[in-house]
Amino acid sequence: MFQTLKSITMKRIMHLISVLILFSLTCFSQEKKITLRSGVGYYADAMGRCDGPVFWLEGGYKFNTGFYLNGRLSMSSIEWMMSGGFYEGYKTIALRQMADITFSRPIKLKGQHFLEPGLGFKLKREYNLYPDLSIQSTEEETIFYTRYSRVFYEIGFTVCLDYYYEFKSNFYMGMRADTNVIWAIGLEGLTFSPLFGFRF
Amino acid sequence: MKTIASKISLLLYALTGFANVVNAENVSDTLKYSISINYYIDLSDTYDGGNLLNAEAKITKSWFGASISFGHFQSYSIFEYRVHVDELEKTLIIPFDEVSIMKTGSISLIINPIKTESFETELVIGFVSSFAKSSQFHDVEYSYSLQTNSFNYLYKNYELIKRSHLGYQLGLSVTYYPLKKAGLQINTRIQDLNNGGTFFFVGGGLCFRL
Repeated sequence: MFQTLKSITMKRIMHLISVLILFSLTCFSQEKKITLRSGVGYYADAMGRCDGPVFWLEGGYKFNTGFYLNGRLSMSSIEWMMSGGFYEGYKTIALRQMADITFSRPIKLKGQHFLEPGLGFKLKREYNLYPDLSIQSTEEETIFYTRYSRVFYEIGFTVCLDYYYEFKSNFYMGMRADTNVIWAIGLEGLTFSPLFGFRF
Repeated sequence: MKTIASKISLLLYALTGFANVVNAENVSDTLKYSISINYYIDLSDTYDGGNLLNAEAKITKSWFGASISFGHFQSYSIFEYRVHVDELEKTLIIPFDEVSIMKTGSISLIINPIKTESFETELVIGFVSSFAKSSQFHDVEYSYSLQTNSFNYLYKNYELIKRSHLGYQLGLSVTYYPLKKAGLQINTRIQDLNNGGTFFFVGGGLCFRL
């Protein structure tokens, strides 16, 4: 029993070491190839004219063409007022969880100032809290039709533009402007956010 | 837990291996010409699915380029016209076979974020123009006998609808070249066109370097 456990543990340690060696060969070369950036900012729904905060986290890897392949996770909650139905005039919220794959390329403006445009694809999951109630009465019975929330997925693309200043320590900070365009619907969201990142 | 750990380490292996492979070679700055033939399926409900056979010619240099494509789209679907007959307490279903064909062309800009001798990834942004003809349900005339439980007569009327679509597309292509001059390609194209023309094509094909 102990021997088996020991063998499994050894196997895992060897596994981990080999992954770390491969990872370090790839990532910790002379050139800084990996970047991590994050921000908390303002999200506006261009169609519904409502807004809320957005939080995003992005990781990228630099390829030999100078492009970064980035994976981003972001979450935004927006507040909006119901314009019809039983709860007309009440405020409610929608939660947007988004996953993006983008390609971006830094352009050196002057000194350590950079502009980085990006373009990619988006998958959005929306949790839409939209309660409603309608009542249908007959002589025999009264029927209540209720609705509370719905969850739906949408695809689209994202266009973003970063401006940042990179310090000698490879830490950088700046601003991000980002859009999300939903397929078959159009421009839906705009993000303005400070940006903090690091290259290693 | 063990499965998750092994999956994560496998993913890390794959990612690091992939990163080493795609960064192994330098990007060429010379002009490169290629053609590709792709077969796509449409995941949208614009024409209730369908297939697209597309040919594309492209020219690239370093990390950018341009392409022109031409394709033939065809779809077949069945529209079910339903009539509820209260006397029989059942629904009559009258099927209509609908066919759509479409000629489509595009001019696009290409960005090559990942490019080596054996592996390429392309981001495609461009204009699309399409011309579609559909044979679709127009109306139906019928007489149904409750006694015999059958149609006395049934006339299905179709109409030919011609639509032109104009808009933009965004796509991603991933090509692997096992041979120096020939490669395998997988593609996706999101198209947002006017006159109700939204398409989501996913497919693959062959790519040849000239």
